[in-house]
Amino acid sequence: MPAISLEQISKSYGEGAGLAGAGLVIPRLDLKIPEGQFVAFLGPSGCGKSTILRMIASLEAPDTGRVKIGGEDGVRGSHGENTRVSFVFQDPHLLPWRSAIENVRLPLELERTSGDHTELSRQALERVGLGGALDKMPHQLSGGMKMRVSIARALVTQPHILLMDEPFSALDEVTRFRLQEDLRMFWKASRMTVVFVTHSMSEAAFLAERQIVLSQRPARILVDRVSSLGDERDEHTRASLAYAQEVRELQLRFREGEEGAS
Amino acid sequence: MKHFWTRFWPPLLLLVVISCLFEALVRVGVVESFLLPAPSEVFASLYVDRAELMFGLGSTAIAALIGLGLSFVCGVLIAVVFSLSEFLKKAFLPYAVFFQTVPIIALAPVLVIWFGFGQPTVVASAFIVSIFPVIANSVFGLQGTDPALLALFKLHRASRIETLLKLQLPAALPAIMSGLRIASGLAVIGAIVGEFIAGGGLGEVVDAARTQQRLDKVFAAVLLSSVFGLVLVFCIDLVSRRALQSWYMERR
Repeated sequence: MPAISLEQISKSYGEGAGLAGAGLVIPRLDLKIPEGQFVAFLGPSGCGKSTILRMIASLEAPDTGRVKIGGEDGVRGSHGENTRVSFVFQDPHLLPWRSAIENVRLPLELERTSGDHTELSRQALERVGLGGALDKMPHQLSGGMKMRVSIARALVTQPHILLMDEPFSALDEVTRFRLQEDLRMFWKASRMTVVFVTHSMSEAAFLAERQIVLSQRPARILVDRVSSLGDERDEHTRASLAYAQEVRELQLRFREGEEGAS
Repeated sequence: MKHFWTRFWPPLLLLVVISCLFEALVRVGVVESFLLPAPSEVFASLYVDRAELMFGLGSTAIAALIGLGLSFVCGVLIAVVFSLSEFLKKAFLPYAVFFQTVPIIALAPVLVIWFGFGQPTVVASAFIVSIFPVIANSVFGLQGTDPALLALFKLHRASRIETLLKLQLPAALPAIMSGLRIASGLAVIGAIVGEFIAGGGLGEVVDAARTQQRLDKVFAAVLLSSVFGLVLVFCIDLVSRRALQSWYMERR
């Protein structure tokens, strides 16, 4: 059973929504994402990638069609009881009045998870390499550290599905590379389903098992391909020929898709 | 201390210069003393009439503080209700804005009819003029919650109350405190206006001294009420800086 399945979903915004394609963002999209897959959504900015992510998270309902999470209707906040979903935004969005560990605790408090919240939060922060900054306030942390706290907050519930909306795009390259490598590690350790939105082909090539390229809005799927890179990816992968070919392949397919569409 | 002086010596110098100027004008006889008292006369009144002035200040201060406290509690509660119900907000907010434009001077005689002569009318007057900035700022603060964080709370199935207590109210705190800061000055004004009509406090001192042509005493009372307003604002600044200390830096 797929973890996420989108059935004929469409979504419009703004003036004349629904009228002859005006404001149409997503037209009748079909997509299945199997459990444990790492998928990257690529596409030009404003194409509707984030909207798809928000619909998977049930933060927005599609105008038509159905979003199923773990085989159940995921519409309007009612995920299947046992499906835990986490979301990482483009910016860390921490609560400034809570320390790092208190920020990570938040989802456990809200979901009334059983177990020792403080201990679980401490472990999550240690996993992202912030074991020494538990009681730091957000304003005392660097941009990269804040994003690590944000990732720890998403991982602390041990989600089945992790949704990420361009989480590393505001970071410097060194920090971004390191976080990408760490994310691969977390994914391999837990085998959660990851849906990762980005506009960087090299990022999608490095991270994902499957890459989906979307067109300008209204968003159609131009490319849906499986990565040819192996499971083991680390800092050395970036210097490999296989990785360069993978990025090149993605670019070519992207261009083909664009030409085919126009 | 050095910082204190570099900041405060220009206004202090100006105060001294202007005081001396007025003193000279009155002494020389350019301005009659019953039109504008010399600063020395005002300071003399502060000492001579100290018992009456201090008693008045105490009464005004208590009324203003009670009015301000009520504004804070009621204002935040009303804003919370507005944030929970879009319908109530849409229904009431225009009237709240209209209410703000009602001149309290015109309303004060009505308050006397409702609450009688004395403290309750004064408190009501302070409350009415000071509640609006608390409502407006709190509504603004509660509305301004980061949409991404609201989404996060929704994703993790937070209840409406949890979202309010753990996200919206703390996030609105800076706005609420700045509303309270504005309200504090207004509460003092409201109290004194109430006292003009209902009696008691510095308002009555001002009114009585005016009829006795004791302008020195009028100015002494006005000076005291301003100083009290300043102290109030200063205290609120201090409290809000303490409360927001841990995350203040990110906001700036």
